[in-house]
Order: sequence, then C-alpha cells, then structure tokens
Amino acid sequence: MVKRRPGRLLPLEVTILEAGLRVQAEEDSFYGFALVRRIAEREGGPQIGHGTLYRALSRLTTAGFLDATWEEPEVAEADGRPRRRLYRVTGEGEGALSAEWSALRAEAAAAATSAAPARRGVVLP
Amino acid sequence: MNTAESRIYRAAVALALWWCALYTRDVDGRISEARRSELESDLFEQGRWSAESGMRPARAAALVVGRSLRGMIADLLWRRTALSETWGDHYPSWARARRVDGVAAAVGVLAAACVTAWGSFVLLRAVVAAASGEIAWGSPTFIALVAYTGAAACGTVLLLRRRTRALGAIWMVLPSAALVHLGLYQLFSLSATVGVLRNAVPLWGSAEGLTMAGIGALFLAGAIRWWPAADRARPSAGAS
Repeated sequence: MVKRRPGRLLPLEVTILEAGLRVQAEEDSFYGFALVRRIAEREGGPQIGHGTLYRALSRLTTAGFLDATWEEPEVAEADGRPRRRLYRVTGEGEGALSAEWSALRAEAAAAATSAAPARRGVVLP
Repeated sequence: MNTAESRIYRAAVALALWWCALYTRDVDGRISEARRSELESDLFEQGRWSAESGMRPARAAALVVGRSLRGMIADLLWRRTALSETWGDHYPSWARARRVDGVAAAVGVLAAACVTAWGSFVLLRAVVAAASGEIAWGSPTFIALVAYTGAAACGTVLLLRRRTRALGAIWMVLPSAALVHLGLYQLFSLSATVGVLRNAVPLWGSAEGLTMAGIGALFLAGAIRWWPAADRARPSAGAS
C-alpha cells in the first residue's frame, strides 16, 4: 500500500483528479464507472477495483477536492438506469492537483541534479 | 442475449452485491445505503458498456469479479472508518459477537476450502500419473482420494450456510484428517520432493499426525461453537 506523505496526494488521487477534470470538461460532471473507463483507456491495465475507487472518491470528497451530488431520480428513471452519484472537481481540488504537479516537478529536478555528478564520472563508449 | 442479462454476468453482480452487504453490515444505514446505491449504479453502467462494446458475458463477468477482488482491502479499510463514524468508541457487544462469529465462519470455510483444494491437487496428480501409466487406475488409495475430496467439497458447501454450519464442521473432521494422510501417502509415490522430505525431515510422522489432529480439532471446535443449542444460549442480536 502506498503511504501518504503529509500535504501530498496519492498517485491514485492524482489520476482521479486528472481524469475527472477531463471528463468534466466534456460532460460537466462524472460518475464512478465513467472514471474507471477513462482511466483504463488512458493508462491501460486492469480496471480500478470498486473498493479502491469509491474509498478514494469518498476521501477526496471529504477533503473538499470533489463535490458529490446524487442525480435527480427522474433523470435516471427516464434513462432506465439506477441513479448516478455525480462528482465535480472543485477549485480546491484543482489547486491541490497543481500543487502536486509542482511538487513532482521539483522532485524530478532534484533527482536529476543529484544524479548529474555521478553521471559525469561515467565514461561512455 | 444481452451481456448484462446473461446468467454469468448476473452471478458476478450478485457476488459483488453480496460482498457489499457483508462489509457494510452494522454500518450506519445512510452510509451503507449510499455505498450500495453507488455500487449498483457502477455495476449497471459496466453491464451496459460491456453490452455496447459487444463483450462476451464471461469476459464482462470476469471484469466485475476482478474489480471486486482488487477492491477488497480498500473495502475493509472503508468499513473500519465507517464503523468508527457509526459507533465511535461504543461498538455494541452484539455487533462485536457477530463479528467474532463471522471471522470464525470465515476461518472454517477457508480451512475446508484448503482441504478440498489439497485433495483436488493430489487427485489431479494421481489422474495425470494414471493416464501416463505410472500408477494403476482404481487403486484403493485413488478411490479413497476421490471419495474424501468429494466429501470435503460437500463439507465446504455445508459450512457456507449458517443453518448447516455445525453439520458441515462435523462432516469435515473425517475427510480433512484422511486427506492429509492419503494425500501425503499418494504423493510419496508420485513426487520426488515429498519423497526427499519424508526421508530428510525428522519427526515427519509426528508432524503428519499433529496436522491431522489439529485440523480435526479445528472443525470439532467449530461444530461445538455452531451447534444449534449453543446458538440459542447466546443473547439475540440487538440486545447489547
């Protein structure tokens, strides 16, 4: 299990917020399985487990990074399906994602800097 | 037939919902209802998507089962949080007793499933060996293996249901002890590893006897716990 670093997002949370923003740009909001499909199409690999997805969504909602509302029953009834729980990434969620990207970029830059002196000592053929 | 309406897909959905009912048990009604509704919606959407993409029912069902299995640890962690939100530090004694019962039942079913799997494995090895002429078909050991593995499978099914759990536990005592002995006996002539281990490991016979006694005692203890009279003696659920 991935351990959370203080003030940082977990990789799955980053994936959810990124995919959520993309779906929400096209369809205003997103629901669980739409997210699963989008992530599986983009990243390949197996679909996210039910428990993993809904626990992460619940965590992000509690943190205020997602806004969750139940769809109107009439809409679901007209479409002949169960009600969806609709999510939207909040401004706070977008801010947390930007902060995470910045932190990841800073980490990558630091790793490249610390690896550079070692690389200089290697004589390439 | 529509993928979502196929028997195998519906079975996978039923399994996912059964698991949901299990891990949301004793959780506040609003929280558990929200989780169940969201899962039902997810399973419906997945069924519709599978049908639209022309997926075979077995493949669609495997995807659902895979997602359920992959999310199980997260489900249990979610349950822990949801229970503490529901009860705080005052987890009622009846719910605690039910949880202990649930764990005991899970241990019993798991042990029976392991015994059945062990019997099936030895049987498979014996069938392969008999097919290639290494051993004779229908030897007394082979017939006993078939009978006890079948009995272990029946015992596992009996253990799954609350009403037949005590019977299942008693039922399992004999096949489990017999399959440990017969399995090792059969593998001694089929597997080089078992042959080497049997000669190299000191007290092999004692370890085998202890395993047989231990597994028999486990099922016997289960039978005593789940015996109907013992069940009646316990306070009913709901009384704290």
